[in-house]
Amino acid sequence: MRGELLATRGRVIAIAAVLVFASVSPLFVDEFSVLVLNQCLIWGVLALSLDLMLGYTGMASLGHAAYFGTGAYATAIMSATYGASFGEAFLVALIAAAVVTAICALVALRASDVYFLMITFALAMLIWGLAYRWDSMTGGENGIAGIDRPLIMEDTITYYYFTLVVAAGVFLFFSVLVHSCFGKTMVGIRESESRMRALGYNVWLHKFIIYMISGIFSGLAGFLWVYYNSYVAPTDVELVTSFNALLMVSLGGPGTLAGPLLGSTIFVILDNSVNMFTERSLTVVGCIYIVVVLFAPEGIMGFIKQLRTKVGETDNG
Amino acid sequence: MEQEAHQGSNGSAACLKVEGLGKHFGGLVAVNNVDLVVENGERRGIIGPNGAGKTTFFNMIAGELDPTHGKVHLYGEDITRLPTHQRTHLGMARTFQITNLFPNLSVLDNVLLAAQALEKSKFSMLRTIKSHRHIYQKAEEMMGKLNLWDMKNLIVKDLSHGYQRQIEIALALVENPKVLLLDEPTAGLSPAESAEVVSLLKELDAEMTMLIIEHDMDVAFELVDKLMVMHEGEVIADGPKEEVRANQTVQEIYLGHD
Repeated sequence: MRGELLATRGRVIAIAAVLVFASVSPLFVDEFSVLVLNQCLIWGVLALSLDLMLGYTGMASLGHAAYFGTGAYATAIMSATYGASFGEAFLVALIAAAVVTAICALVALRASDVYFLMITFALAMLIWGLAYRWDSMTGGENGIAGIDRPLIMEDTITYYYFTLVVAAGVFLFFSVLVHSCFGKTMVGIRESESRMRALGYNVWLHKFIIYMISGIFSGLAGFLWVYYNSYVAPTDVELVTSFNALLMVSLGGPGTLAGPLLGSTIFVILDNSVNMFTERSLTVVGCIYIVVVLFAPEGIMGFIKQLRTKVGETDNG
Repeated sequence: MEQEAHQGSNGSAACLKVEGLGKHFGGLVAVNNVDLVVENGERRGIIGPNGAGKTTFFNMIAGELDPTHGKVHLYGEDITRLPTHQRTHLGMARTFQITNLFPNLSVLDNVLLAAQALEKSKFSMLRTIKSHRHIYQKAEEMMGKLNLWDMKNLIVKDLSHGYQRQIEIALALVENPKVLLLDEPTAGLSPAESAEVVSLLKELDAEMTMLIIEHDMDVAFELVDKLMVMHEGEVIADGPKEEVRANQTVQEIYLGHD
């Protein structure tokens, strides 16, 4: 019991420290660093959404670029083409992401394991094809530019704080969710689907709901990304985006909430610094993925947890 | 009560009724034309050598496998094509031959997941399972009965096989089923552990109907009233256990090995 309390206290202190750092640091660094931090947050939201499926429920998706991209394109089209406001674009982005997620989920949930992964990947390629080819709507290869933020958050720092509040909200909601009655069923499905069915759970329905939540929040990340970049292009929807999200979760620690945020932060900082020296950043990322899978299959958070258990054991012995 | 008696005279009060049930895997006939009637409160055993089709038969009753032909009725309702989870809502619960738990969760979380399975609150995204008092108490009571409460915070995969088998039964019992399907409840247990499980099962509510696959003859004879013997997908004997024990064919193909 005491250990549990200490762990909770440690967690609260860690979250508070990260929040303080995230709120204060932009005041002391240059604008480029604020932009990088902002990227960490946006990709963090995407990674958190993916982790609900990958880490908590055991559904490996290689198609989250589709829902991210749908949110992004819906925002861009609404804002640049139809002159919609920030709030209107927000609503349409989430609805569009929800619709696309629902359709994809109906198809993909017929399969599981690696087949599920392949189907989510194929569906994401369809969305990519739409973005790439539907010129009149998406601007084709050129994408859509000129998406302006509302005046009130035009400057980099204000938008950064806006993103921070959204990301913190998502984190808070997810941490309530994963500990809830429903959240436990996610872990139950990861651990044993057949047992869950035998207990009386409609596993398909639970997976569908999780897929929807994950897809809608990925769309939210896409929305944030477009207003951050003021530009969207097919590259935002391609396989690399899905793969990057997968890597962030695996790197940080699937099945934890700190993991995806840690993973996205490391990934974004690494990606930005590697890009200064070489064009082969994908090669570097690929190598990191292999190292993680081989030596820390539970990600950095899993590694830390293992270390803590070991220290605990020596303490007791 | 009267209505039940009335149904009884119709012959539809049988808890579980299986007609001509069969399963073919390609050319292989795993189960062929099996009929079975289990009355309310009856304890029925299914025995047979390896590969007799017992577990296949069992999985068709539980809903994990679709039969190639035949029908399954639960309390007069046709459940042949009903998904597994809906059968559980009708009062059916099962255990697995190969331990099937949530290995990375604590014992308490395992039982809690089972205890909330039939509750609407399982979709609640804001409240924890533990905050629902009656679900928590149900789990606590069941774990107390099986002497599992002291290990509630231990992770299931770290426990011995014996304890895991007990949790296997706890997960099925906490839902308070009317029909309990047990697939080799003593599989892999030492004689002492096996005796513990047997006495646990014997103490259960006498009104609970049980269908038990069992490999261990002593266990089967101790637990059930009637036995069905399967061999190569067919039923070769079905009746009171003493009769079955005396059956010549059964002795040849099953008991004769000892």
